[in-house]
Amino acid sequence: MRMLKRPGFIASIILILVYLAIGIAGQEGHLLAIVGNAMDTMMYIGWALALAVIMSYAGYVSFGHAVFVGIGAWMTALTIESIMPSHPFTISMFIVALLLGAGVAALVAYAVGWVVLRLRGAYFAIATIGLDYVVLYLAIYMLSRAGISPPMLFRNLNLTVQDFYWMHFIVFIVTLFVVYYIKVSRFGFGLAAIREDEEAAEVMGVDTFKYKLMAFTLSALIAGMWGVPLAFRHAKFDPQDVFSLLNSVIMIVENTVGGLGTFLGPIVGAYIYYGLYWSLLTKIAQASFVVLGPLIVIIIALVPEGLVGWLREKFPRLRKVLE
Amino acid sequence: MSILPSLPYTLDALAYASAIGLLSMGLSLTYATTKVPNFAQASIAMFGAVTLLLLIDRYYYYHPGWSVFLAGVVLGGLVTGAVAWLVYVTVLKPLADRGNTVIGLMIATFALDIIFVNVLTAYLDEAHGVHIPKLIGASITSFEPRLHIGDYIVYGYTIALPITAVVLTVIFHLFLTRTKFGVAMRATIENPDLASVLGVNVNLVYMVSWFLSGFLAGAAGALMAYTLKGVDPSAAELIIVTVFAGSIVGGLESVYWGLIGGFIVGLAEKLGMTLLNNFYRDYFVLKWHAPNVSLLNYEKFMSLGLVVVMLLYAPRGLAGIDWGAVARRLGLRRGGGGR
Repeated sequence: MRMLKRPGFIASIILILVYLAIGIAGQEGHLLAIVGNAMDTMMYIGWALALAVIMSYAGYVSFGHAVFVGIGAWMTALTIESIMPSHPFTISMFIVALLLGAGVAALVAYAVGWVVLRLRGAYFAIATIGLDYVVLYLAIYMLSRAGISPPMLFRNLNLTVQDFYWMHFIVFIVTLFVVYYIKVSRFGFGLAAIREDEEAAEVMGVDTFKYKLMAFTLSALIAGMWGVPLAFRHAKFDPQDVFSLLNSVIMIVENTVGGLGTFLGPIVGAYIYYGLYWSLLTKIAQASFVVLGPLIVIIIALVPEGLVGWLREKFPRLRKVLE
Repeated sequence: MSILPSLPYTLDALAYASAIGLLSMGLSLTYATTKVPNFAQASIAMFGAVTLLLLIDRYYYYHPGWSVFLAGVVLGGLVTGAVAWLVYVTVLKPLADRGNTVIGLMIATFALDIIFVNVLTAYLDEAHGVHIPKLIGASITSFEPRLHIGDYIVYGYTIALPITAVVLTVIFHLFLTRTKFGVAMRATIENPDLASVLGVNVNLVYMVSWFLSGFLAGAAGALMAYTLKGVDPSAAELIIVTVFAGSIVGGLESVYWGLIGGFIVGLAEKLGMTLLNNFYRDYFVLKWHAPNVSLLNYEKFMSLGLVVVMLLYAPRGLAGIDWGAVARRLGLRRGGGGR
C-alpha cells in the first residue's frame, strides 16, 4: 500500500486522468488537433518508458529498440491481412495484434539478449544497431516473398481518430503501471545495482545476467505493444519507416534529456522532445535532422545527468517528489 | 557455373576489406586512447570521399591519371584528420571535462553522425545540383585509371586500396615504435595516469590520436567512394555497422587487431557472402528447386554472425586469444610449458 502513495504512482494516475479527460473531450470533433498531439505524446512517453527499463534502470543503452516497435507493427499487419482477413474491426483484432506484437517482440528480445547481453557499453549498443538492420532486411524480404513492395498498406478498417486514441490510451495505462512496478519492485532494485556497479551486484548475489535478460525482454515487450497502435493509426507497415534508427535515437534522447535512473525522467524527456519537435522542427522540415543533432549535443553538454537528475542534485528537498 | 567469384570481384572485395580494416583501425585507436566509441567514424570518412569528388571535379576531370589515388589519400586524409581533431577538441573533450559518462559521449558521437551525414548531403545537393549518388558515381568511376590484364579490366582502386592499407599501417607502426611521440602514445594507451606523471602530454596524445584516426578514415573513405560506386553520405550508416563489427572481432582495444578484424569482416561480407550465394544457387536452387533468392542483399548478416560467434567463443576478440596455445593445440608449435 505504501507504493500507492509514492509520487511516481500519483503522477501516473494524474497523467491517466488527464489523458482520459482529453479523450472524452475529444469526442467533440473540433478538438481533433489536440487529440492528435495527445496521441503523439502518449506514444513518445511509451517509447521512452519502454527503453527506460533497460537503458535508464539497468544502464544498458540499446540503439535497436525501434526493432521491437517495428515488430509490433509487423505483427499488426499480419493480424489484419493474414490472421483475420476480411473481418471488420473488432476489439478482439486489437487484442490479438497486441498479444502477438508484444509476444513476438519479447521472444526476439529474449533470443537476441541471450547473446548480446554478454556485451557492455559500446559493444552492446553496436550489436543492437546490427539487429536493426537484420530485421529491416528480413521484413523487406518477407514482404517481397508475399508479393508486396513496401510500404504495405492495410485494407480500410473504417476506424476513427477516437478509436486510435483509445488504443493508445490502453497501451499507455499498461506501460505506466508495468514500468512503475518494475522500478519500485525488488527486481528494479537489482537493476539499479547492476547500473551502479555490475561486479558488485554480482558479488551481492544479484543474478545479473538473468536480471538483464528479464529487463531487456520486458522492455522489448512494451516497445512491441507500442508498434500496434502506431500501425493501426498509420494504416500501413513500412519497414524503412518503423525500423529507422532515428526512432531509436529519439527514445535515447528522451531518456537522456529526462535523466537516467528515474521514473519521471523519461516522461519529462518525452514532453521536452515532443515540445521542441512540434514547435521547432515541423516548421523547418528540411533541416529537422540537422537541428536534432546539435540539440542532442547541447542538451548533453548543459545537463549531463538529465533534467530530473539535475533538479534532484540542485534541490535535495525535491528528491521526495521527483522519483 | 563456378562457385568461385570472378577476379575483378575478388579484387573489389579485397579493396573493400582493406578500407573497412583502416576504418576499424582508426576506431580502435580512438577507443584505446580516449575510450570514446566513435559512432561518427564512417560519416567522418565521408569527408574524404567528398574531398576526392572535389579533386576529380576541379582537376582530374581534365587530367585523368593514377595520381588521383595518392592525392585522394593524402588530401582526403588531411581534411578528415582535421575534422576528427576538431570533433575531439570542440565537442568530445569539453563534454568529457563536464563529467559525461561513456554513454553520454557515445550519444554525442551519434548526434555528430546525424549532423555530418545531413550536412554533407545538403552540401552535395547545393554545390553539385545532383542528389542521385549513382550520378556522382558515374562521374567518379568513368575518370578512373584502369589496367587491362587478359580478358579482365582491373580497376585502379582495387590495387590502390590494399597498397594504401599496407603503406599506412607500416608508417603507423614505425611511428609507434621508432619515434618518441609514438612511444608516449603507447604508454598513454597502457596507463594514462602513469604516463602523465612521467611527463607525457596526455592531452596532446589524445588530440593526435584523433587526427590519426581521422586520417586513416579519410584515406579509406576517399578510395571507398570507388567501391561504393559513388559519394553517398547516408551510406555511412550502413558502413559503421561493419566497421564496429571489425573492431569487435579484433578486440576494440588493440589497434593492429582492429585492422585485421576489419579486414576479416569486410572480406566475409563480400567474398564470403558471394561464395555462400553461389553455393546456394548451384546446389539448392538448381538441384532441389529451393526459392531463387540472391543472398547478396544480406551481407550484414555475415558481419553480425561473425560478431556473435566471436562473442560466444572469444569475448575479448582476436586480441584476447592466446595464439601460442592455439598453435600448440594444432601441433604447429611444440610444447613450451603451456599454461
